[in-house]
Amino acid sequence: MQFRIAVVFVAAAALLTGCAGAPQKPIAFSTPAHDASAQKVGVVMTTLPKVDVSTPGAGCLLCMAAASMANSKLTSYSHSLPQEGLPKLKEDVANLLRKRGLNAVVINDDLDVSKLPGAKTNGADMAKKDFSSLRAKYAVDHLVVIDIQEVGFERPYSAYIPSGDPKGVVIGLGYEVNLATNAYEWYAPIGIRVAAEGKWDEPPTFPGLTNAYFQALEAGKDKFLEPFKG
Amino acid sequence: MSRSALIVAIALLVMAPCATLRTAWASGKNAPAVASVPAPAALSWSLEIPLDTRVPFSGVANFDNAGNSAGAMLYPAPNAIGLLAAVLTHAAIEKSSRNSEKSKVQKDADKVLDPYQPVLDDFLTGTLLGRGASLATVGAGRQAVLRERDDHQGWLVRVTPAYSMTQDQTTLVLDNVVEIYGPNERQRASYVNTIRVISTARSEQDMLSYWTRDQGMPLKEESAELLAASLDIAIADASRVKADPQFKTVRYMEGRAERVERGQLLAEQCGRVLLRSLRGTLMSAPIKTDETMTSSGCGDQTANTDPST
Repeated sequence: MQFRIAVVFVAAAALLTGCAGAPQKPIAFSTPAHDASAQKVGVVMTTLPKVDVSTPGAGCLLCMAAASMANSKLTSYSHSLPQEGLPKLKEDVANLLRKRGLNAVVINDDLDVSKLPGAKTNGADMAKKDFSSLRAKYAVDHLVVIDIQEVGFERPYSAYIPSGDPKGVVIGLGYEVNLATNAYEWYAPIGIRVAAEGKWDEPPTFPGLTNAYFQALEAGKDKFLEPFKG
Repeated sequence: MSRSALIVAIALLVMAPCATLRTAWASGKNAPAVASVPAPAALSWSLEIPLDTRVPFSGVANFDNAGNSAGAMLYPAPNAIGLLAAVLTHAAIEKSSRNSEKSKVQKDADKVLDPYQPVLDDFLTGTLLGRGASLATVGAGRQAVLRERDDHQGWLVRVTPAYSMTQDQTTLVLDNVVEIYGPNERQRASYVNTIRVISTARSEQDMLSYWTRDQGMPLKEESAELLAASLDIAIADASRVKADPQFKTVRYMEGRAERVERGQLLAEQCGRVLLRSLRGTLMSAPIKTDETMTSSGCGDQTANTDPST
């Protein structure tokens, strides 16, 4: 009996230790990182997610089903909204970099970070994936990555029950990797949540929430571009 | 048998108000159409002054950080009925918690007005509406009229204004529900809309001293100017041939902060935009401009009426 308890304890400890990695801290963007203007900066985006509704906190299968049913009208409507301006965010970043005297190029391919191999060197401010292969592939020395993970609406749940009203949301991550060292030179998690003014439940066109969505979209774009404006 | 009787009785009780509503709807359908509001140049109107009450003020609140917490929940579920009861209880608690969180956000936002209470206690709707009517510019003739003195002969404007102050205290925001009634008609409005007018941010160092000097005259005067602007906008909109401009995201200033609104841009002049929101309401707001741009020929315009009027 005691042996069984010990095994469970060791297994739990092993699992929890795996979750205890320190999160990457934000790093401010600074131009001197590319003091040599001959160095080329590539700007790339990951595949944009479709505009959708997420329900964090609705964890169990039945909870997910209940949340999906409760928000079905909003979900259908969200698919009709445009991602206005988001796809050209990499062009906007490249233009701002050029204004700061940097040699910036836009990479047209969508980057799939999950397909990159794990980094050989770990440590503070080091990327978890190995980006070095992209140096030769795109002929760039630094890579600015715009990774938008969620765009649309978010309604928090506590199991079956919504714990808040839906909000317009843009969640993502912006970072720059030095492809010679695989170190982060800029790291900025971005999470924008905007509440609808007044009531939100106005199907079929949800005007209050739609406004909040576009407000989140503008605020998100501003947040991604702000570090490059100088 | 007694159960059937009970069901029939409940059904009758439920259906009875529906029948009343249907009758009201049917009578409304057969009633003559309300008069269209004439063009402002041909319109003489009166602003109804209701019984004196305090002008409602609140603080501009931001609810973006309210109700963001997601989490797991373990329900005590001895059986299906127990689970259902637990879920319903949880729902009631969550709803109450959400409402109290929103109330707290608004209550905290309202604290910005604490030092202004002596001025606001003394600010009554009669004073505001009288001054607002005198500052309005649209229409062939304008006057303020006490509710009991309305002879029902002319065009009447009823308003329900509500003001808020930004947290940086530089700006007042008016949300005004404007109703316009035709001659001999005081029940069905020819035009109803909510007009939001945001004042241009003041740049005084000490906003409290500025707004409250001379028994709060600057605050009262700014409020009246916003009201007049909302009247001008509503009256111009009531007779405007509805164009259908494309929806776009428009940036504007609220206090010292830049905001955005999705809507149809109706006009842009003198450092202000006028747009129709997704809900169909109208908003006149200042935009971020070079200070030198607004000085030539625009004056101190709070309103942004249609250039054609």
